[in-house]
Amino acid sequence: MNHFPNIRFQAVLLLFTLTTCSLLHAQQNNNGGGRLTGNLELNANFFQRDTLIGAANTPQYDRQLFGGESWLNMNYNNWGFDIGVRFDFFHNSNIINPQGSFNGQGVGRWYIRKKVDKLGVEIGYIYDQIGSGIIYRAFEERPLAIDNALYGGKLTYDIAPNWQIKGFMGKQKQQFGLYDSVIKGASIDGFIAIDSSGLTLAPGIGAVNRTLDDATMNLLAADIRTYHSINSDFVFEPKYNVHAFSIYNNLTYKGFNWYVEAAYKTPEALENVIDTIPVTFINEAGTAIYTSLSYTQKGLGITAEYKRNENFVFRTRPQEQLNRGLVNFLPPLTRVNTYRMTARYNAATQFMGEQAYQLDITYAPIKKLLINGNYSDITDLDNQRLYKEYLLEITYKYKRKWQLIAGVQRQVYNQELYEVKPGVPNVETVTPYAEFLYKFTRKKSLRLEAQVMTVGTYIDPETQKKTRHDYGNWIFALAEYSIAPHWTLTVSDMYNVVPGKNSPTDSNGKKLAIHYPRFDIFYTNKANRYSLSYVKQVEGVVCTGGICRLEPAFSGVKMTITSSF
Amino acid sequence: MKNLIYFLFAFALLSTGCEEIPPDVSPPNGGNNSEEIDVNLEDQPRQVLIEEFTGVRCVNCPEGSEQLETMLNTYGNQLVAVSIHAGFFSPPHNESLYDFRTDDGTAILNYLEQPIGFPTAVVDRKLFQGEASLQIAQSTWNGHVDEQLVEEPKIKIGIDPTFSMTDRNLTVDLTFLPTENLSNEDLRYTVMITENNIVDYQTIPVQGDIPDYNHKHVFRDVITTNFDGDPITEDILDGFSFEKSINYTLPENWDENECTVIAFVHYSSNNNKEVLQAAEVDLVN
Repeated sequence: MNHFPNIRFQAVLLLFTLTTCSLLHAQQNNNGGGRLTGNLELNANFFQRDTLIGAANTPQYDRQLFGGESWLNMNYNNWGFDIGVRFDFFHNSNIINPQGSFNGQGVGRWYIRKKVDKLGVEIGYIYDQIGSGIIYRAFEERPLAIDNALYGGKLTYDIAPNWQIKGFMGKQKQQFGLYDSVIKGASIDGFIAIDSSGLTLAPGIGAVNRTLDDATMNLLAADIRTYHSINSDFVFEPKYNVHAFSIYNNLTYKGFNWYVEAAYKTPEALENVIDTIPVTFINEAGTAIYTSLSYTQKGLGITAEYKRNENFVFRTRPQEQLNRGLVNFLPPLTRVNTYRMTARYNAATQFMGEQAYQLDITYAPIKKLLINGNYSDITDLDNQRLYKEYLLEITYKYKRKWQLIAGVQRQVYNQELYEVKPGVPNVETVTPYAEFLYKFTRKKSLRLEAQVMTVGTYIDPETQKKTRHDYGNWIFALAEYSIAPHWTLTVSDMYNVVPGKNSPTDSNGKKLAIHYPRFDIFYTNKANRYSLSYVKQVEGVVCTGGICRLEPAFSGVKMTITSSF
Repeated sequence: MKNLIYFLFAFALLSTGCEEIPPDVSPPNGGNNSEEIDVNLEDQPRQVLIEEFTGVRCVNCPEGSEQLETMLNTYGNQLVAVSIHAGFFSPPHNESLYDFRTDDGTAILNYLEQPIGFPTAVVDRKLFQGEASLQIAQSTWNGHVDEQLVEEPKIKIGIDPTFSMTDRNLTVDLTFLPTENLSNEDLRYTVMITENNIVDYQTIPVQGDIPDYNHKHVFRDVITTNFDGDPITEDILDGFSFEKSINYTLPENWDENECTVIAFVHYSSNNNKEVLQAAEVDLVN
């Protein structure tokens, strides 16, 4: 449903409110009045067609040549009120659909918040979560075009010291419109410190309900009706209402921290992912459990995590796909890697069923030396391997002059499942890497990175020849020169040194060893940061916070501006 | 703790105490509606166009095509299906015998917007309530076709193809019968050819690339002048029919016995591309 007229009205109202606030702000600045803050993020992409690497066949590469998006956020605080508005602009943007072109502009968010004694009131587009987000999380993740704000109201009430009850209701945002399902929920969160023993507890319980609108239910029922012609055993009566419950607690005692959350979701129509079931929807209840135990003391940090979820996809309507319409968030149990090669293969959360473990140990035997070891393992509920990673990293700092980081990563990545590429074997990688930072002076420094990714081999059933997994072996090198506080210049190249099964080919079918260079200039001036980059980027799965999507190759120039004021 | 108990009790009530009246999930139209019946133009029911976008490299698309067949069994003549090979997954495999991509197919995909994923389809080129774009996910195809079938056709379309085996010349005579007065502003008609049962490579789940996949309803060409339809210049008055005729030479490598002619009347403005009625006949009767 299109809500543009409403949003225009809201925008005018908010602009009026903010303008009034600003005027008052100007008047009150002299006597310690309100505070107006904001930030701007702008991305501009210039697309340069490169069919060799697959940067082609989208509207931007074929004819539009330019696309971008920006967000302007403004917040005002005074008289106990928090007021904010965010303007979103998308022009021939590929951020929402990497294959498509999206145009739209308007108010992406507004909110008004006020605390009256023990009662907290918030209306507008609300970001929030219950527990770790397993049953409810409304959040924004711009790189993946996720904006799951709830458009509605939220009340909180301090029922006792350190105890708060929260309730909310609304509809989920869908770009500049809203989904029609209604979402409502409540939680109680507390904090208990047990005498002087050092033991603290932060327990909570939460519940969320989603009610489908009639149009969505009609769509669902129309689909289920056709199952009679396939096998009437698959026919079920879908529910308008689904309820999800969770109970959680965070316990701390001396160096220990133990978080645990368990959740249950009543049966609802879920999109079927089982090949042997020839219908679109199945009717299943969901369960999830997540726990994290960590221990820290001087020079040592150990964290162990476990997660199991089954049929725990929770969307504003069951027909939504990929990252759209998500009501909840399942925490990822893999290391957040930042180097170009170690972050190439990511494990996207499998909502319909996975079991994951992670162990992370950080040890500093001496002040100059830090050792990090990480192990993560993800399987489906039939124990089939989805992802496995071992990583060992050492950081050595020599005074303030130089720093060396060196590590090695080993991965097993189920490409067939994560990227839906039938018949391909698990990608097995070994990636040694090193980073060296040298400070010439207090202002001038040079950072060098070198990474090598080698992958396993298999007999390609098509050619009956030994072939390297996926794109084969890579080497990556980067040099970054910084002149503080303003300038950073970076040059890097990712080279497909030994091409693999999926590497681009020439017209004779010969695999090509292609360079993917990148040049960046960053300029920072106080709270403003500008960047200009020339980028050739291979296709890959991009993940943020456990949510991933397949990103096509990129070729062209990127410009970004971020500013805070 | 007392508050906690109240809270749990309230939600237990919410989840168990409120029984819903479920939606009707009985078989559509009381059973199978797949029997194809020739009807007079005056008696033509509402017929809905579904344009599926697919590609030989799209592993999930066969599942969509399978659903299309189930839907054709359910809705019979009231569903007109075309599978357009265009977009990210449509380049042929090295081993493919054919390249199903066409300029018109690609132009139609760009005209109807790129989807966020495949399989995907556009039903009657309509932006449905609750959907973000014309391109809709497989799980919603049945529902939106149902929605469209509730309406009475505003115009009815008769297709009469004549094919000459000697010179492969095809003449398509069209009769349009409006059932209400309509403004002809932005109203167009499009005629296209599809071909059934072409066996070639396709990527499918588990097995990967297989050589003997049966491609159905493959879009071949738009035979009206423009890919987005030709203008209707006649006055569109209730009960007053008008006619059009198109000549086309069928390429040698298309099997005329597997080809069908599809015609539909639709709007063509930026904000409204909706199809009012569609019709399909075999190219060779």
